[in-house]
Amino acid sequence: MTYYEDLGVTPEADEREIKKAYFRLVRKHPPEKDPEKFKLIREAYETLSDPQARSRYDSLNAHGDEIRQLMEQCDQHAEREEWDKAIRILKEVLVLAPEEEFARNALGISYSRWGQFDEALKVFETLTAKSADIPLYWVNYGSVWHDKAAVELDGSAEQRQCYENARKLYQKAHELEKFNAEPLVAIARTWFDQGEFDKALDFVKRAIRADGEVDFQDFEALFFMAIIQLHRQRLDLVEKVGRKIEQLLPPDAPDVQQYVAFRFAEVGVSLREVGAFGPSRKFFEFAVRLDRQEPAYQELLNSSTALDELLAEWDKIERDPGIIPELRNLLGAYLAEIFEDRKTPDRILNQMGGTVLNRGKAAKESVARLAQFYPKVYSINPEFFREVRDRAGKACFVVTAAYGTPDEPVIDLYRDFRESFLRASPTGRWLIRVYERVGPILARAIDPHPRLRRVLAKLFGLLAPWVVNRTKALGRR
Amino acid sequence: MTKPAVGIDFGTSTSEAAVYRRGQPSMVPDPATKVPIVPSLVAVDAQGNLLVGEEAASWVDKPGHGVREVKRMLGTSKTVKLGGKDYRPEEIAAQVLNKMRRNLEEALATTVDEIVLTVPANFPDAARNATLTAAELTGLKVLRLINEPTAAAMAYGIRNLDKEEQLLVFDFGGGTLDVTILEMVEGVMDVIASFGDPQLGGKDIDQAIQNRFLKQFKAKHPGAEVSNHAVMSLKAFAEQAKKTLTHQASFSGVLSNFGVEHGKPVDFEAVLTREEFEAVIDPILKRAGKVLHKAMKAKNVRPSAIDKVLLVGGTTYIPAVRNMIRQDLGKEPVTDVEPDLAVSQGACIQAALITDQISMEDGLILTDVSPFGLGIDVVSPVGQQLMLVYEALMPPNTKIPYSVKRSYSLLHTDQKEVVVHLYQDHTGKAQLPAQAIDTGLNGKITDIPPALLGTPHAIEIDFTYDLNGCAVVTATVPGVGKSVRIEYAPASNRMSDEEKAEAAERFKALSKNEPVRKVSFAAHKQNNFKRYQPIIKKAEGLIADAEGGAAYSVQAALDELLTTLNGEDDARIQQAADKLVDTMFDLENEF
Repeated sequence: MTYYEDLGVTPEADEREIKKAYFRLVRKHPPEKDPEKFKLIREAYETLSDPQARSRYDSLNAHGDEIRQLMEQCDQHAEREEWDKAIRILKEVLVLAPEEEFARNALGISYSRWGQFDEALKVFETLTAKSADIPLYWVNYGSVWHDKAAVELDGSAEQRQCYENARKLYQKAHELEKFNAEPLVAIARTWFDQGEFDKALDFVKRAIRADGEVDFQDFEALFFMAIIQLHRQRLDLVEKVGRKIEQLLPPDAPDVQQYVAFRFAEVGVSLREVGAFGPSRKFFEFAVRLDRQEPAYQELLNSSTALDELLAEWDKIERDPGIIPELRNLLGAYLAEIFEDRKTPDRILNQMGGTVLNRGKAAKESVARLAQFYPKVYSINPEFFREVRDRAGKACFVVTAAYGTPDEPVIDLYRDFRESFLRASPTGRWLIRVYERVGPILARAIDPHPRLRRVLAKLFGLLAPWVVNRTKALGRR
Repeated sequence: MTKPAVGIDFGTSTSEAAVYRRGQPSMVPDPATKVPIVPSLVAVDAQGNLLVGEEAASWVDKPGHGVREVKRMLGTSKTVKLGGKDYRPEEIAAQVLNKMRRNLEEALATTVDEIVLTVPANFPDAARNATLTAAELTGLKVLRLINEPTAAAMAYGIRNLDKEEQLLVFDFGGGTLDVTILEMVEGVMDVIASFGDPQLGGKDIDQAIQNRFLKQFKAKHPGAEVSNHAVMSLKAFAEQAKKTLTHQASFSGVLSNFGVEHGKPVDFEAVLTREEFEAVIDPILKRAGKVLHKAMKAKNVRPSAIDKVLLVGGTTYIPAVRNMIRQDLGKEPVTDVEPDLAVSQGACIQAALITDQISMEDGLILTDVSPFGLGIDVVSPVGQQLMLVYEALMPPNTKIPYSVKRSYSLLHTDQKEVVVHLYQDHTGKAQLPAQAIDTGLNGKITDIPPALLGTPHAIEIDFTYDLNGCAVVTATVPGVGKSVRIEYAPASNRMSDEEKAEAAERFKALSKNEPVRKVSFAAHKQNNFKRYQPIIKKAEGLIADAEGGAAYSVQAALDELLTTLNGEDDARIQQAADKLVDTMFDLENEF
C-alpha cells in the first residue's frame, strides 16, 4: 500500500486534502481504539504532510530502480576517477529525485575532484543551507576550499583566503559534533599546509581528545602529530608520539600492528628520499620494533644508519684541510651518487679518479688519513682507495659499473601490496580510506626540506622480495 | 454504577480536581475553603498533626514543619524534613493527592480509585515516575498520565468541536512553563509540538521579588541582621506583591520586626511599582520567550498560522506575561479556558473518554506526543573513527502510539553476543550515549554462531511505544533465530518494592496524624444524600435539557448542594437544598 492509499487520497491531492483525509481517518480510527491503524495513518501523514519528504517519497516511488542503477554506475565511475561521467549521472539522479541529499553530496565531491571548484562550492552551499545540521556536508564543503587552496599560488592572498574559508566550514562541522575528530584534523591540515606547524599541532591535539578518550582510533591523528613534530624538528617528540601509538595498539591484532609498522617504514622511506637519514632511522626503528617478522625493515634501518654515518663523516671531510681538494671533490660526487642512489657511482671514480692520482704523494697521504679517521667512507670501496694508494702517480684505471635498469615493475608490485593487503581486512579497509586522505599530506610534507634528494628507487628495490611474498600469501587465502 | 471520571491537576503551588458529569467537567471545591483551588502545601503542626492544603498555610514556612512546591523536587533524590523525619518528595506529593482524593470522595459521595493525572509536558521521566509512585502510595490507579497543556486544550476543544484551528497553549504555572501547539480539525486534537522549561514558573518570579525586597531592605539598613525565619516570611509577602501588581499599578506593604539593627527591631516597608516589577521579572520573561520561539521553530510554525492562544496557569495572569505573548505572536491571547482550572477539567474529560463516558464517535479525539525520546547505542562511523553513538528510535515529540523497525549489522563475523541498551533523550539533541539517560534496561543475545558467509549477521530492532508510555524493544538476529525483548514501562524506574513498602508505612503513619473530623461521618453523609436524591436527579435532568445561563445557575446550585452534602453541617445542607429548589422552580415557571 502506498501512503496515498493509506490516507485514501490520490497522488495529486493537495496539502489541504491530505490534511482533511488524515483528520477524518483519525476520527474513524482513534489511537485509543485502533492503535495499529493509527500508526499506519500517522506514518503516511508524517511523510505526505512534509513537502520535502513527500517529494522524496514520490521520486523514490516513481524512479527508485533507476536511481539505484544510476548510483551503482556512479560508484564505478568514481572508483575509476572518471569524475566527468560521475557528474553527469549524479545530475540525472538529482533531476529525478531533487531531495536525494546523498546524490547532491556526491556531486559536490565529484566536482571538487574534477577541479571545478566553483560548481562544487555551489552544490555544498545549497546542501548546507537545506541541511545545516549534518556535519559531513560542512566537512566536505570545507574540503572544496582546501582542495582549491592546493591549486592556488603558494603564499598568495587567494590561497590564504581558501584556507581561511575551509577552516570556517570545518569549524561549523566541529560545533555540530564536538566529539568528531575529523573536522579538527582537517583544520590542522590547513595549518600544516600553510607551514604553521604549531597551530597544526594545537588542532591535532584537540582532535585526539575530541571523543574524550585517546585510543587506537586516534591513530591517524597521532601519526599526523608525529609528522608535525618531525617538521618542527623535534625528533624527541616524534619518539614520544611513536611510543604512545605503540601503547595504544590493539592486542592480538597482528595485521593492525603490521600496518602501523608499514606506515612508519613508509615515512622512513620518504625521509631517506629527501636525504634525512637521521630522522628516517627513528621511523625504521619503530617499524622494526612493531613488525619483527619483516627483515626488510631491519635492512632499511641498517642502511639508513650506514648512510647517516657516512653523511656525518662527509660533513667533517668537507672541512678537513688534510684531505686534498681533488679527493674531496671526488668523494662529494661519489657520495652524492650513493645518497641519491643513482646506482652508477663507479662512473665518478672513472671520471674523477685521474685527477686524484695525479697528485701523487699528497693523494696517498689523504687516502691514509681517510682510512684512519673516516673508516665508514673508506669502507665503501676499500679496493678503490687501496688502488689509489698503490698507483698514485701511475697510469689511469677503469672501473666498470654493473647495475640494472630502474625498477618500474617493482613499483607496481608495491602498489599491489597496498591494495590487496589492506583491503583484505575490515580494519585495513577502514585505514586505507584514511590513508588516501593523509597520503597527499605526506607527499607534500617532503617539499620544504633543504637537502632533498631522491633515493626512492633503491628503497623499493629493497622491499620488493617482501612484497612478492606477501601478495602471494594473500593470493592463497 | 460507573466509576466517576476524575482528573487531578497536581500543581507546584496549587492543585485542582474535576469530575466529568452531566456532559461537562465540574470542579470539586475544597470543603475547608469552598473554592476548588487547593494550595499544594503539606505541614506538621507542633502536636505532630498532619495539615494539607489551606490549613497548612500557617505552619508551612516554619523550618522543619512544612513543604512548599514539592512538585519541583519530584524525580530528584532530595528529601524533606517534616516533624523530625525525612520523607521522599513522592511521599509528600502523595499527601496532596490524598487530600484531593478525599475532597473528591466527599463531593461525589463515592470512592475514587481511578484518576487521570496531569504532569507538565516537559516533565522528565524520573519526575513522571515519582508522580506515579505518589499516586500509588495513596492507592490511586492512574488511568493515564497526560500533559498539562494538552489537558487544557481539551477543556477548550470539548466546547469547540466544530472549529478548525491551530492552537497555542501557553501554560505558565507555579513551577513550570510549557508551550504546546495543536491543530484541531473535526474534533481531533493533534499535538504538533510541545516544548518547555521544567524549572521556570511563578515561583521564580516570587524569588526575584524576594531578592529585590531583601536588597531594598539591606540598602536602607546596611547594618541590620535578618534571620532565616524572616527571609522565609518574605516568600509569602513577595507572592502577595505579585498578586497585587497583577491588578494594581503599585504595591506597598510592611513586614514588622523584619530585621534587627543596633539591637533594635526594624520594620521593612516595601514599595514596588509595576514598572519596577516588570524590570525585575524581565530575565524570566526572556527565558519564557525563548521557550515560545523554540516550540514554534521546532515545526516551523509561523505566528500568523496560530489562530488562538490559550492561557493556562496562574502566572499568565501577570499583565507583562500577556504583553510578551501579544508582542511575540501579534495576537490577543484568549482566556476561553480558566487558567487555573482548565488542566484538571481536561484531565477529567480524558478520564471520561477512557472510560467510555464520552463516545469516541462524536466526542473529542486526542493524539498526543511522547514527552521524551528513546533510543539505543550503536557503533557508527563518526568522521574517520568508529564510535559508540546514541541512535534515536523515537525522537521526543513523536506522535504516539508509534512503532518503527530498523536493521543493523553485528560488528564482526565471529561476534558471539550483543547487548542492546535502552536510553532516554529529553533534549532531542543527544548524539552520544553519555548525553542521554541510561534507563538501566538492556537485552543480551548470547551464543551467536559465527556468520559463515563472510558478512556479519544482521540484527533487527523492533520498537513500539504505546499510549501509556510503555515501550517494547525487540532485537532479533534473524540468521540464527535468536531474539531478546526489552520492556520499558513508566514504572520500570521507580522506587524499589522495599522502598515503596517503607514509604507506604511512613505514609500511613503520617496520615494517621491527620485530625479526624467525625466518626460516623460516612453513614450520615449517605443518609443525607439519599434524602436529597430526588431533587438532585431532577436537577440533573433539567441541566441536560436547559440551555446557557439557565443550566448554569442550576448547575451552580446543584454543585453547592453536593458540596454541603459532603459536610456535616445540616443547616447548610438544608439551605443549599432550598436554594436549588428555588432555582429550579423559577426556571420551570419561566418556561
